[in-house]
Amino acid sequence: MAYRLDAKRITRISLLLAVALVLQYVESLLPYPVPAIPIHIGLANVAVLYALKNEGRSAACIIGVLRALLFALILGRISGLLYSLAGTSLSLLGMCLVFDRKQVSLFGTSVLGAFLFNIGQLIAGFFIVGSSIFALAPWFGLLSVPCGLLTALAARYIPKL
Amino acid sequence: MKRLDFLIIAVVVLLSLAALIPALNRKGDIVRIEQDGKIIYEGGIHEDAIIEASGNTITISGGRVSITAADCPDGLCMSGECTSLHPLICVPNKLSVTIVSSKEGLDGISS
Amino acid sequence: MKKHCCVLCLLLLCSCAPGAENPTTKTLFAMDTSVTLSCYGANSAACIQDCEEKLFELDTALNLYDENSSIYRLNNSGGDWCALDDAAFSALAYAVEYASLTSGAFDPSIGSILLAWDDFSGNVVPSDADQRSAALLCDYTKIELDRDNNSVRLGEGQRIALGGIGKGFAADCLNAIYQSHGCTGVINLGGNIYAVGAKPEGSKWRIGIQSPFDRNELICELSLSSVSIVTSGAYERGFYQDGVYYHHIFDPATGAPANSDLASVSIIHESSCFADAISTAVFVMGYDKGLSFLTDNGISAVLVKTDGTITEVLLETP
Repeated sequence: MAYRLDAKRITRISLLLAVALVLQYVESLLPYPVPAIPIHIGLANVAVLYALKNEGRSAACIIGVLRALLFALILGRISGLLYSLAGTSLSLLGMCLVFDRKQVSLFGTSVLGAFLFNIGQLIAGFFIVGSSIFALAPWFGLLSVPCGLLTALAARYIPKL
Repeated sequence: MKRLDFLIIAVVVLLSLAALIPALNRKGDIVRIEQDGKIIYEGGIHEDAIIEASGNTITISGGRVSITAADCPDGLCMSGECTSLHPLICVPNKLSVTIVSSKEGLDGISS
Repeated sequence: MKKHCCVLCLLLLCSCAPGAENPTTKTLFAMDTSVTLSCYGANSAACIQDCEEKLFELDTALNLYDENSSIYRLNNSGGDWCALDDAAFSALAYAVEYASLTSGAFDPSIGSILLAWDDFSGNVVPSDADQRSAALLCDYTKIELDRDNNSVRLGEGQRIALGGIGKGFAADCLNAIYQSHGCTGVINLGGNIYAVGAKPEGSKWRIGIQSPFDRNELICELSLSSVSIVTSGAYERGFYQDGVYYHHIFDPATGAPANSDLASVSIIHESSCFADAISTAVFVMGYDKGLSFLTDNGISAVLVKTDGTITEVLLETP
């Protein structure tokens, strides 16, 4: 089937964006899964992963970046924008590069995405708080594995819209 | 799960563990509090003190360090204790509390 | 298209990094030791370059073993007047001044004692008689200085060794170079430290004093700016023979390694040359005499006795 940016596709992408925003919002209300470490599971990425798998790279990127922008603008969390853009950009870059290789499944893509997202956050954090933020690096790295696997699992088993 | 997935996971885990090594080597006896990139307090971990930073209060008592008051929206920094492996960071107030070994950050040693 | 935007965003993020100033650092080997220069300032590269040249110049000029140095010539002048180059004369003049101040506890004519110990090769322990006769030759009062001509005349059999002051003298020269370039930083000549100015953001340099008992530990940490700190201790160089440890800080009065109750002496002073000489002298004096000397002359120091007691002398409270 040829890839066409038709009305149906645009609708699907918009819906996924909305889902991503809702997921992100809900997650932001919940406490962090690991106390004192500022990492969420990244439920919004379920939508991004789903888009990557079923709608293609461009769609995933659109959803990813717009999610970060809109979430900050709509909910007034501008302070977090630097972090989420940094994390999102790096994450999308990695995922798009690795996604369609034959030896990589959605799980690997998702872990890589989560890892890069956290690295992006650390880098952004460095500019704001200083090098002490890198002390969190090991935890950020290790947690990206279970979080990535969980989001991939969710994205895999949600039936097509 | 495919072949390269395992590689990705392995690399991520290894990098994270590698980042852990410098933290493990620290003997951690000096508490360093930085705000906005500047060091505002440095003192021994066994010197009891209450430090008022802009928007946060840090308490050092009995060899333990924690943030006991914060005006930031999520109050995340107040959960948990600061250890050599785990700094306390309050992003909204640009505050970080870390435990470093006394030889870290020295500009020179006279011998 | 969006992917390109992501990359652009990332690049933008990286470009707006706040400028935490990074020093220019260089480590080299000179004056028989490892030298590390860290330099902050717009002219740091030129500054380090000039420092390097100065170090190599002084390496030869102050070196009694180098045939090209005027010190070598002086030691072989057989008691005649000998003209020295500026650096060598200057260093020797300071050395004589400090010898006088410390009543001979520090003495640049210690070369005769060094010779008796085969220049501290570790193979020779001279007899008591040899030690005594070498000690007799070690007498700063017999050194004549002609400041108008940069000339020196030694007493019979005397030999100059500037090892106890060389690094300090060099550090002072390097400090002057840093200042002429408008740079700050830390000069480290094998443990002889000059903290030039203060850190770029204004706070002082953090300098630790190595423990004489465990090289991985610190005795204390000091906050210093625009000042030098030099530490002398028996632990720095020495050799064992027949179960006895001989260290490198000789007592000009006895011709043997100083029998001191101090493990290390650290002197803090604007002149590194002074600090270098005094740290050696106070070590030789021992705790009691050393402490009186320091307090009488208003010199800041940290003394560590062999039993572990630490005494701070006239240190500023931060």
